[in-house]
Amino acid sequence: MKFFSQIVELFSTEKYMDIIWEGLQTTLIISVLAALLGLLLGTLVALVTISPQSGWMMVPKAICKAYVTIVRGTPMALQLFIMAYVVFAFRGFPEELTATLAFGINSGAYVAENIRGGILSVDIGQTEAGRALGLTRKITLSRIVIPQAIKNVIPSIGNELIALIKETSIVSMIGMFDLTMAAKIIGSGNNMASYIVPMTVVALFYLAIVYLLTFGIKLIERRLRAGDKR
Amino acid sequence: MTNGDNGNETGARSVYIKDVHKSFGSLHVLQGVSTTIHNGEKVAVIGPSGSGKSTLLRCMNLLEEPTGGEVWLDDRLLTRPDPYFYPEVLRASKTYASMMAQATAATADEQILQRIRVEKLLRRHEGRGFRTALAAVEQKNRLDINHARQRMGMVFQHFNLFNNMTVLQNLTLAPVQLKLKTKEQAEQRAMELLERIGLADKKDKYPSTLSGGQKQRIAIVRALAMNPEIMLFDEPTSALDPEMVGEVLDLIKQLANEGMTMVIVTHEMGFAREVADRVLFMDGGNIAEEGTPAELFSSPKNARTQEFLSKVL
Amino acid sequence: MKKLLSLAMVVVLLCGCVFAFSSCGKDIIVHTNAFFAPFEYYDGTEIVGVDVEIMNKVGEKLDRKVVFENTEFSAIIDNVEGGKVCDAGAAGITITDERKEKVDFSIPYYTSVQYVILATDDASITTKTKDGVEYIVWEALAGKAIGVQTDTTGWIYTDGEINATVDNDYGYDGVLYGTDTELKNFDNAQLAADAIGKSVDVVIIDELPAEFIVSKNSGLKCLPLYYSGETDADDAPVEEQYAICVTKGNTELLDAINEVLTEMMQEDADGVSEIEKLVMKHMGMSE
Repeated sequence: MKFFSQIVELFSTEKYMDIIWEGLQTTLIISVLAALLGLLLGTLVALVTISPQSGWMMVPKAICKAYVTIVRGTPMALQLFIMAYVVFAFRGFPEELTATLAFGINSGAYVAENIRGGILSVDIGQTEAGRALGLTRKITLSRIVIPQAIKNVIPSIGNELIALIKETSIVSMIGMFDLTMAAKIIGSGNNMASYIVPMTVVALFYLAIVYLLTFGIKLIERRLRAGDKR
Repeated sequence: MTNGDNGNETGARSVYIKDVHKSFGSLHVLQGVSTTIHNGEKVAVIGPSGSGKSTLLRCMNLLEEPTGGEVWLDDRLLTRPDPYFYPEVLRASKTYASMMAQATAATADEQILQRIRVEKLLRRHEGRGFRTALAAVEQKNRLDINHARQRMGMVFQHFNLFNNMTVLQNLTLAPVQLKLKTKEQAEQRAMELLERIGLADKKDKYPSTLSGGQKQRIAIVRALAMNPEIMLFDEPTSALDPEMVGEVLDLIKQLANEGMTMVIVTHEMGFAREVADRVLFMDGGNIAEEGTPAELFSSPKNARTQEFLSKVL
Repeated sequence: MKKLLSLAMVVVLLCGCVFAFSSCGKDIIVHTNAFFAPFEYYDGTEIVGVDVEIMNKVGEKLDRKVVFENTEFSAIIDNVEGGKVCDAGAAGITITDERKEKVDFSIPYYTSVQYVILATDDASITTKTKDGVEYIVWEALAGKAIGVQTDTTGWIYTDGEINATVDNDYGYDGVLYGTDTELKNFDNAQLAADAIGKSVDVVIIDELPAEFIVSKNSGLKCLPLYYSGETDADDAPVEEQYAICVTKGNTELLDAINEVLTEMMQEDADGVSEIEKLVMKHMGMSE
């Protein structure tokens, strides 16, 4: 079978593996940094969104709402393009940073909605019981509501991270050398001159990354759920 | 389990509700309720569903913020001051000033204040002097709500034990977080309370593994762990299976016998009759009738009370 | 929260400025789409090709470092026009009137003809032969699914011939107008070639990339694309000229490029120019 022998050829050719390694690094760097940024941004935005309505909070609340609406309402590819060619259109601006910001900001909106949903899914009675004991809003949130919300939120955050990793493949659109670009490069020019094999191999790499992540999320979930039954 | 910790003498004012209104949108749930709960008194609140019983109770510790009127805990104000109660505040308002400018009679002051109160004439913006006067009243009387709540235990219909914590953690969280006790002191106190209700062996269990009756008794001692002066019970047995109602009511009775001040919203008429010093019958957002259990249950005067009691007794 | 956000903004902007100034005026940044062998393509992780060698010579002349950056072909003209992210575009770019309005072009350095890539065993497309050259006329592609690389001239021509009516002002003949011919866009020509026999019947792309792809993929062949004339004798290939573009007004760079190109197009004793040699080298034809 030519297909399988080509896969073996790809794995055993140092030049091709160097290309994949280079792309893998970019994919991982962007994914990890964007995920961290997204979690941070998402948590902040969620906390602002669920905070009680009061005079001075109106402005940040409105900003957060607009942010979530705009980011979730427009295609990721366009956001990346605008980031790269409009917002950060500076000569020599590191493209990894552009991509990290674009994906982090995008992911933050989804994470914010997940966390908001998770917090709202905790029975209001839990908050009332905490407040009725004289606990402050902050302590009630941090000791009672958020620990319960996290349990509800982990699976959907996991989904978001998986989606994020796969979505980073569009950075090849702005010419970045990620895993998907690695496949294009191996498939073109002086290299293998066929996309089918490198694309398949790269798909395996994505699969492996996502599988590891899924495994990690399962572990965290199991640890959190253990608390229920002890 | 006495309220002696705070040194209040029996019979003094504990909670004072003054002309409290509460609306949810266009729904006027409380329409000007006033009552005083005295130290050591046990007050049962009964009435048909939707009559505002639970809302009244929840206004006492501000889980619901009243839209008008005031709530006091002994001599301290829990709500924002209601400007209509303070002549000096009303006199600082623009409305008062403009009415005064048109008035001629020497008795104008009293009449104008009366008109403003009756017709609720205050508008959203009444000027800086008004705000300052109101702030002065607030400054003088207001008690931080979190401090007030530490002195008022609350028991909910659906228990609301913290699901992410063990029984022991449920009991120690607030005293430790609020720095009222060290962790050791709080745990010692919690164990005393758990032993008292015979659930010491459940200290490391999570709420999801307990029966409804056990959960509610733990919820009661969770409130007691704060050494409250007054306990508010919001239909404490409504969500329980019938065979578990007894154990919870017994515990509440014990507390009553020990002299705890309490307000109980309940559907258990027999219990109300047995435990309460005074019964409030609520209907349509007002206290329709009140009196001793003997008076109210045996010879109700209000037609609505009679109708209600004939249905439930 | 707001403070934090604005702080982050400031940091990011400062970083941007630092990067902007640090490389300002030093390196010549050239945007390309490195999937267009032999003009630019990846060898391992390096971008190489005829255009790269030309620009490196320009860099030597100006004593500045040349940095090639890979991007979407469609974005190159806009990026060069803006001049914020790059100085020049070198990607086998064909001179067209629309592009001339946005950027300044160098002198043309290569004349290309459009080629059709098709399966060797595809008998459904009639070919013609003239002067010993086998070719395909536009009419032979009627009703086919044609794959192109987005924004290349292959795409522009095919789109023009399919969608322009016969009497139009745009310079197209509308040969395929109303013939139910399908146009399919791909990221690059190799992807399009992979789809031959699947979602497309043929691919239209410039001559050299076409030959390069055919040399790497068995089962494919390529033939020049002709406009048919009144008689067979008037049939003529679809020609175009490549040039390098720079941001409008950057005469220093443009002059240097033109100088280098003029030198490189000088034919040697054997009548072969340096550019032609480079083309052969990158097509794997030298030695």
